[in-house]
Amino acid sequence: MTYLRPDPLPTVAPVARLVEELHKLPGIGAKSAQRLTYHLVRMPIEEARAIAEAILAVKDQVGSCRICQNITDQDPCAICTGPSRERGAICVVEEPLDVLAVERTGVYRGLYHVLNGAISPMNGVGPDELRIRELLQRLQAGEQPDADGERVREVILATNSNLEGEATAMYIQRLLTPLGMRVTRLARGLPTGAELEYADEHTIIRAFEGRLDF
Amino acid sequence: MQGTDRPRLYKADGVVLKQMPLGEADRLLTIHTDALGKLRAVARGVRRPRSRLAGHLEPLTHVRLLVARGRNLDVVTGAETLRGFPRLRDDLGSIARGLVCAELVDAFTVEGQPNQPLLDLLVETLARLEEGAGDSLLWHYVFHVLRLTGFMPELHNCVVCGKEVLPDRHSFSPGLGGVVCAECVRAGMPGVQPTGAGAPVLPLSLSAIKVLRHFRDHSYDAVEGLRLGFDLLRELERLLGGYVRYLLERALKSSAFLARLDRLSRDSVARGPQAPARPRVS
Repeated sequence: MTYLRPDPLPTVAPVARLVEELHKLPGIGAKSAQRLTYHLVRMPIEEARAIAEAILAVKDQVGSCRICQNITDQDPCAICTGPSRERGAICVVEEPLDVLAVERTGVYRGLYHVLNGAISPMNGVGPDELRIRELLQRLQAGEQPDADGERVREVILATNSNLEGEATAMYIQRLLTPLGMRVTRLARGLPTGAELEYADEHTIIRAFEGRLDF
Repeated sequence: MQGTDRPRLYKADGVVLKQMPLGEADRLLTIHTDALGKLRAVARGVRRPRSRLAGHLEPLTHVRLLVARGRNLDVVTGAETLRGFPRLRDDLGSIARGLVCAELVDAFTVEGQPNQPLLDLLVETLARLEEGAGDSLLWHYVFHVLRLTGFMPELHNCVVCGKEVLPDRHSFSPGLGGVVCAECVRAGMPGVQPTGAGAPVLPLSLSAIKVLRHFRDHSYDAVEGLRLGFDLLRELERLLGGYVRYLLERALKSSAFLARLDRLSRDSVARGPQAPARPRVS
């Protein structure tokens, strides 16, 4: 029995193009890209158009806030110009999603500064790749006082509690020390729902150091 | 690690060298292990706050792993910290030096080739960094990483003519991997060019030869007491850093951050007590 080389798979050019484009997205492999593409092919044209327009709108209308570097559709952003925000504190976070996480709690009403990453020397991300210079300029220039005439008195370092986040926090703390400003770090220790038995030694050390009267 | 020559589920002790975010909540880890040498494995869900593994899998942690063989990448299913070096993580300079140590191991090893002495050296060096060891430790470490990965510089005989090196104004050739005697440099022997392209040589002081030989022959305990002046540390940076750059054909990424901290320390000198100069590894 002879085996013939199979014919090349028939490809539909627009479908192949969309598969290729979706494959560029993070976390989307070849199979997922195909699945999404064939879902879009079957989708009503209005829904597909709405997705396409939403993508374009994000690229056309969203930029960075010139003050806090968060993503925004108005510059300065709603938080930086918000009349009800307390201007005595700036919370420094790594990513825009971290702002959302803190805002969801409603516990903090101050301002933010988004670094757009963390220092990761082995991955080639140094201080110059982050928005640290903008933070210093912001603090040196002085924020507009709020209705009560309050200016920034405290910088809260809310970078992630991993090696990169700690290194970033320590680096910024070194830079801020000469400014004589109060610099605080979010508490580190056991997260809610954690079991002590599985915690690593550094977490337990931090938890003991940060224990409070109860 | 490729192939299926390892069990479905296996244990390994190692140091986490680096991590990269992967997918929604996973991380891709690079670990230097005892049993398998360098290993790349996925740690699932470790970017979620309630992950049981996350704290054990931070870079610069000596960890005992339980790993499941995967189709492409193996998956870490269990982790227990052997040494977390918590005081190292409280000092930015020690973190930066520790990351240089980890990157050096990553750069000089390939996956699937065990090198237990190199793992022991890394763990010992991280422990000493945690105790506040200085720059001489870093250069001692660099020298021994080169030794344990087959790139130890030749320090006794000229790498061109083979004659024993006697006190004189010798040079070091990164391209030839050792000392070039003064006679060969003067004679312009093939492969030796004082400047320019090819295999340029670097001036090598007698003190630097003695320190490098001392590094080679002794553990850090014997080196710790040496007082290495600023000029000698700069020369070691030029020689060993240059050799590392030549071998890797690139600079170590993490050394740029160490250099940045050095500049920051120098800036603070004007405001406070003298801060020690930090060398750049590569």
